Amino acid sequence: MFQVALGILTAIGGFVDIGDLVTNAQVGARFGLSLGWIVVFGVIGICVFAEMSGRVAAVSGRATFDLVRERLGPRVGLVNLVASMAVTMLTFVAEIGGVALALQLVSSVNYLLIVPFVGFVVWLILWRAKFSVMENVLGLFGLALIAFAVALWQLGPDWGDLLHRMAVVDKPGDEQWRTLAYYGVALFGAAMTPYEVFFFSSGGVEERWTAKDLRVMRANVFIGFPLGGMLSLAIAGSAAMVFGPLDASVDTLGQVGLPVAVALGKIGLAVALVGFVAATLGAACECGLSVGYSLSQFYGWQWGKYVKPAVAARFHLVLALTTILATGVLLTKVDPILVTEFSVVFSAVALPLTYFPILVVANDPDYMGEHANGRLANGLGSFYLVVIGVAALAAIPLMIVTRMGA
Amino acid sequence: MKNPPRWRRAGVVTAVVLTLLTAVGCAPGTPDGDSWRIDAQRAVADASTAVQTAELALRLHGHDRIFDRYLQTVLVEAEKGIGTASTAIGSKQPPRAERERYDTVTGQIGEAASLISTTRIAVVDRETSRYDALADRLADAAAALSRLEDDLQHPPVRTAG
Repeated sequence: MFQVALGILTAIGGFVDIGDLVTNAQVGARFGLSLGWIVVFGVIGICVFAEMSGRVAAVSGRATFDLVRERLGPRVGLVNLVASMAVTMLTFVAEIGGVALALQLVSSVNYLLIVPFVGFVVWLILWRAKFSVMENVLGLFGLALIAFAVALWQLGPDWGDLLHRMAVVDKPGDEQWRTLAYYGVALFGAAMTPYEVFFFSSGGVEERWTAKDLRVMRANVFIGFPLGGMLSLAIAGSAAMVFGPLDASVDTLGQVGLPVAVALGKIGLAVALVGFVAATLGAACECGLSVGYSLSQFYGWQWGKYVKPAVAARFHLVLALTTILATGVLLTKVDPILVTEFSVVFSAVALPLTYFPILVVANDPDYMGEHANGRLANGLGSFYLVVIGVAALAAIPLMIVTRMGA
Repeated sequence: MKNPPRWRRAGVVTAVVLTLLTAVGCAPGTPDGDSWRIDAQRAVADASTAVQTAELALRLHGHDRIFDRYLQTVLVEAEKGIGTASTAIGSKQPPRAERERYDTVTGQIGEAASLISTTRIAVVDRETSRYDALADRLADAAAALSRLEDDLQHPPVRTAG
């Protein structure tokens, strides 16, 4: 019971990352909760595919992408590897930048000076911390983002109106449909970020899940993820309450926290700041590991934190090099919020390459035996794959025609 | 008569394209009135966001709901945001009919940027007694930018003579 509760709590706390924080606040300020249904839709999608990848890990004892090359061949595997790794790397840069921006809010020291420190801490965690400690500690501290839900409640919205806006596809009069569509794709990409599935399935192998753990895994996914999605909606809702009436947009992490200060004052803001740091740091570690996992799994190297670094030397070398690379990219003065915006859109582009192989492997009785996908999982997976395909095709054209939603 | 070899034709085409690109790249293009107004509206909206955020953060500080360092960071970010908006519209060549409003837009954004800088300086120096007055000035600047944004929704009014 304790394991189930811990798993659910860390799944909630670990659900939100810099992409969710920024995109939900931006959308909430501009469109209210009129795109809230996309978050709900995206959360259902990530639940469907996370359950499949978790099931693959538990039943086969191998991470999904360990099987992709074997099942789909090296060529498809390589395309999958390059696309997913590129997006995860971009997200890794955004998350490290997010931690630095969060610490800048606490210290008022320029984030560029903080970035090397954050890079070092991320590498240290990836090198030294136990997998379970990393996942549980950062996940539990990430729960501090519940401050946004409390803030939304304190701001006293008209709940009926909020729910009505979520249920009806509409836009403010001064916005264009294509801009709404662009942010819809961005929200969808933020909710279904590929690294979450890499991390989830490889984490299952790290924690040595077996078929007996399927119930716990499903509880994490089907309770933890939707509750994490509620935090995303709370971020959007509180931004809508504070910035909507001002007709102001949200472009910085400092603005994302202001609704909590309005509703709850300094204590609430301090809690939200802890949430910012934990959520972005946790996501940074997950992204870094995901890059290491996918590369090592593709080339058949020894990987994972459950073995000593000396045994998985190439895996740890990848972790160190990618952390240096991500830190270096941020030191070029590239705007972390801009990187975040790109990362969620390119996540949407890479979604089919990430999720199609999961559906194929989870449906293969040779690997899954009696635990292969049933009709419901296949139906939902296929339906989402079509939607993902449409979102992937639309993402870049929408980004160009709307000038990134400007 | 022999046709010129393919590589030569390709060379000529490349040279023409490069010349055109260089010419276009050297002189800023003049956008038409509608697209200039869209860009101007966007810049004014971004400036307005920066000013309103600065005002909100300052008022929250007045009610002891925000930390000094958080306020300082929000103001630095607002200053950066309005600077970007100012550069974006300032570097665009306005159509002749919009010259007057170009001056108004760049002037008002410049004034607002200067006000945010003044606020940031006061906050860094912890001159708390000035916060209320600065918040009021920021509110006035935000209202003026909002009026300008509304005005930019229409083409310029032609005056007789």
